[in-house]
Amino acid sequence: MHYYMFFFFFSAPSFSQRLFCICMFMLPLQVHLYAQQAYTISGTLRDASNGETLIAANVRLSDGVSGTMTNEYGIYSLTTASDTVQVSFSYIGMNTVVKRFFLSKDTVINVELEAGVSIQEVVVQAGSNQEKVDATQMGMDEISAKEAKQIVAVFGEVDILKVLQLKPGVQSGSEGSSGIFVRGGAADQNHFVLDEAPVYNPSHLFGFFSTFNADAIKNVKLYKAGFPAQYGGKLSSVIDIRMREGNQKDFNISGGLGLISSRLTVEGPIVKDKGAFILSGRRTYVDIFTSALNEANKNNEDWAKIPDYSFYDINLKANYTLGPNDRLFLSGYFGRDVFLFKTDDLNFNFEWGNAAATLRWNHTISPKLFLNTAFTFSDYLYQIKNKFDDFDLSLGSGIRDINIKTDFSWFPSAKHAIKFGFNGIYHYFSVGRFSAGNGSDLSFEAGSDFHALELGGYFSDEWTISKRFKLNSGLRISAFNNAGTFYWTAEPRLALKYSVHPQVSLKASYARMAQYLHLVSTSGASLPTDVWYPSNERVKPQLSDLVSAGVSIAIGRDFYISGEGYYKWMQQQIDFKDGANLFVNNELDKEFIFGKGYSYGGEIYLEKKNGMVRGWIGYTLSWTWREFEQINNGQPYHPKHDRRHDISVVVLWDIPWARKKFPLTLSANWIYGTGNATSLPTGRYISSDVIGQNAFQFVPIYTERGSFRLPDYHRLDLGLVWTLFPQSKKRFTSDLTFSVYNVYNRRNAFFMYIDAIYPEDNNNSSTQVPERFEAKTVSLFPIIPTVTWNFKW
Amino acid sequence: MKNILLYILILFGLLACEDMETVVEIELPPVEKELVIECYLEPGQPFRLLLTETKDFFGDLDACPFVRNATVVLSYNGQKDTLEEAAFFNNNCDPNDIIPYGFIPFINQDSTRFYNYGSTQLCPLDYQTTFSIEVWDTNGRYATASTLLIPPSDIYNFVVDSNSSGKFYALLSTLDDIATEDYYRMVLHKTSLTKRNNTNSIPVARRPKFDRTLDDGGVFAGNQVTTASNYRFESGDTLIGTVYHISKAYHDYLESVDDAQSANNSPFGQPAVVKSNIVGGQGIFAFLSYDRDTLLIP
Repeated sequence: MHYYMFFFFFSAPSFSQRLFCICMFMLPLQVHLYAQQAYTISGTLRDASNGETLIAANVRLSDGVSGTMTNEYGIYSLTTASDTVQVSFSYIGMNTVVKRFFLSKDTVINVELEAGVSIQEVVVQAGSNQEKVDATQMGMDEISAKEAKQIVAVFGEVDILKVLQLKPGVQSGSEGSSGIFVRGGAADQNHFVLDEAPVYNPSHLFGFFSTFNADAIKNVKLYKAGFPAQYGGKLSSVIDIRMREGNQKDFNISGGLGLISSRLTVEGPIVKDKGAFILSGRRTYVDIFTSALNEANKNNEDWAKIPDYSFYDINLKANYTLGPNDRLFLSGYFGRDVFLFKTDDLNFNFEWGNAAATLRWNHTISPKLFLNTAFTFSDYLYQIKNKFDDFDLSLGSGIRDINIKTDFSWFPSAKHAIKFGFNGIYHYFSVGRFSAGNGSDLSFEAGSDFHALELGGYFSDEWTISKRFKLNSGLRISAFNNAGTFYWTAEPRLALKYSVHPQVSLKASYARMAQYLHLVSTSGASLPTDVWYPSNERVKPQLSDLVSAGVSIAIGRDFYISGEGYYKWMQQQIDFKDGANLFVNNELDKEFIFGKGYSYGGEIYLEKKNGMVRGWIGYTLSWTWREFEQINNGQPYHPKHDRRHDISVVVLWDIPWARKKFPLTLSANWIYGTGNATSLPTGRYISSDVIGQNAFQFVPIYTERGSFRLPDYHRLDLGLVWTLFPQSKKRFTSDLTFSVYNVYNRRNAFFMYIDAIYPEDNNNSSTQVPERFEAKTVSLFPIIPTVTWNFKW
Repeated sequence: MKNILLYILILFGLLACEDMETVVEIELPPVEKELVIECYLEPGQPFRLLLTETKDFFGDLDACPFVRNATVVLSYNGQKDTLEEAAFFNNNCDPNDIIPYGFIPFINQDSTRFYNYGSTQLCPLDYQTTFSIEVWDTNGRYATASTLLIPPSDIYNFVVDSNSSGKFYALLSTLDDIATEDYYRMVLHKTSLTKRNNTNSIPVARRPKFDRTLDDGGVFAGNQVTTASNYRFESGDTLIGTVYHISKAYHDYLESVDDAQSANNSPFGQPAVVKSNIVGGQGIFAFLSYDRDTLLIP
């Protein structure tokens, strides 16, 4: 086998094929290398206050070298030689627990960590930065909902995706949008996973808020490079969102009143210390005010009726411990946006939203082998129902997934952490379902349905070669079948870490990703009317190859610095012909054009997670290109989300002199970004046309795509969290969060256009020549002060 | 302290109500000045052509866009017809006026559009011949294009129907030949095709009630291409329905012009390049092959 791979390595024609050979060579080699006598310490880490498992908590041996982190289910496993061992368990904001004992057999230690009395007294995670330095994983950011809640948000709506936008390498599509663009990838190349179920359109209000209610979220991990082999399906990032599990100890009600929405969460034990549930919901109430205004002005002829808009979402999760080795989880999400506009003649109803559900079984086969099996359901749809006089029009699209997946985590020795598993997804696509008619002589229907199957299997090994070298090699095989068209892709993954010093490591990674589902969107942003479309004979899978290299440095226990450079190649990128008909078209794929993309850049990240002053500074320098034969005369161009410089500064400060009676936490964000690439017409000509709506109508001439820039973007946000009566012994607690978004009222551009200015005395612009043209930017958010009241009982 | 807080909140409120549009200074690079030909052939009608040139977007809006003293030759069936320029009494294209003083343009039969080059020759009804246009101007620019006449597609159905409120909608349809790839433009006018304009000598067409460019991708009842208006007409209204049977080149031109015009004002629009069939310039050279009917709503 090895000789064969050796020969194939040198004869392989491409770089990626050679990497594939390296992975195949190393996998079997690693598995049987170590067989020394050792025992395993394993267990679960929980929050003592509510029994919830802790993700990414640190478990370290006193030798200063060996350690691990809890996985997404709060489980850890650490194998070491038989000896007297001292193990410390730590998590941010919680007191560290240290256990000392003689390890003479496999040992299960479940630990509950208690919250520190105050930030200063907490023994913070001295090892956390060290874990980051020691890990092979690069290009990963992690945010807890607790951290996200301290960061200022527009309208006071805590949005975990907008916090991710403050990390280097992650860009928002436009002002206020929760859509993310990772290292030059497009909006549809992010894999959003909520408790293992994919979420296809993770936004409310046309992209301005994410669907993820921070009250129901525990933790978010963003992978932008070095993708672990268990993830696949999208090219540019994985956003793995884990919901809270509910309080196993006590019943709680919490919630908040904000400027545009209210939230309520109920949680409690099903059986104390064995199971819990959490039910969390939120709803906007702008439509209540607009309805009242419309009703109050119904007899006012000058009143321009305001459309009613609202969104709501509900998260539910329950878990139950079946026994020492088994735990069952059921989680669900349902959210809808509703846009209504009713007049005497018109009834316009636009609804869209996601539904997701997961049934998951965690099973500990042995202290070294864990099994997680999940059955997930996911659904996204939008539907427009329009009634104008006697005409009915309906338009909708959607995607529905049913997925079964099984993942194994195996820790055969202190040197190896092996993961393997497989999954199968049934996809159903409803594309451009359109009907129109007046119930008698006019009737028209269009639309297509597709059924597809996506399969994936993977194997990876994190191999600690020596104190300095660690290698994570893996291989994912993915396959896709749609109406007899079959594709498969070998996706090698490789990550290498070399410690040049205990607190300094050099890292490099390579990942190939394949994407079989494509978002039909001309907007460059993510809109609810965008349609997911499967690969078929004409539409081949998108592929990306990402190489990155960097350095990680832990400075003391408080500071962490990383620097990474990357280059990403993207094949089979999709855009659309000019004038493509994307809505009522049974052969939508004939409107597609195919090209390639590439992006490259560097990121620097400085983080301080501990102490009274916390936060981070991120800087990204990047270039993003697309190249299509039919666009821009075949020349490379910058897509809208190309941004040369991007700086984010986030500071949280627990004000010391206000601490005891009136604890105050001040937060500040400052964001700077080069303006997005945009296209403007450079020339014009007059056209008479046959119909002649305007004898002097101007036809704009676009010569080059993405050759202009919007003005640079920058903004300062300030926030203040004021905990009310913190020394009260009562069960009821609350806080007021004051925030000011865009403090210096910067008019950041949402988009730019050229306006024709007509003479003031002109009363018929259809027959007059404009006085002049002006370039204008349109902004969305001025300075926005907000107060939010949060409570817990 | 309370007063200060109140003042701050009021200030924030006022700021939030500000206009969110900002005029920005931006430099657009100059574009190559290309010839723009707009020429529609109609069997039985004299040849007419509008010859202008492209301008910088921020260029002088008053500057006359007409190209003067060009040689315009229309060729068909072995014949060559040179189009004469419309009369400019001051023999100049006034750089300070988009419609120069003394300009007497050619007007089409419907008085809906004007041209600055024309001929007395009538366009023949000939489906076999390729019609070509060639333009040379005094600056050495050259543009050419060619087109073919396609037969009109008759109006199959032009009817109105009312709802309970007594408002009427209009339906206009034609029959599509499913064996060929066809394109249509369907237009509905109310009252007349043109309207008087006291402030301008240039003819002005009346804004249509609908103007839709269609392909044969979406057909009703087997082979009907149909479009309909909203319920917006009343008893006594006169409706004029026109079905243009257009070439692919003309269809693509109309669609791309529409895309280019809408891209400018939309944050989600993509810029579109106008698809012209003029080689060496911009614009369109096409036949107008149509069927038109008038309907009085009873």
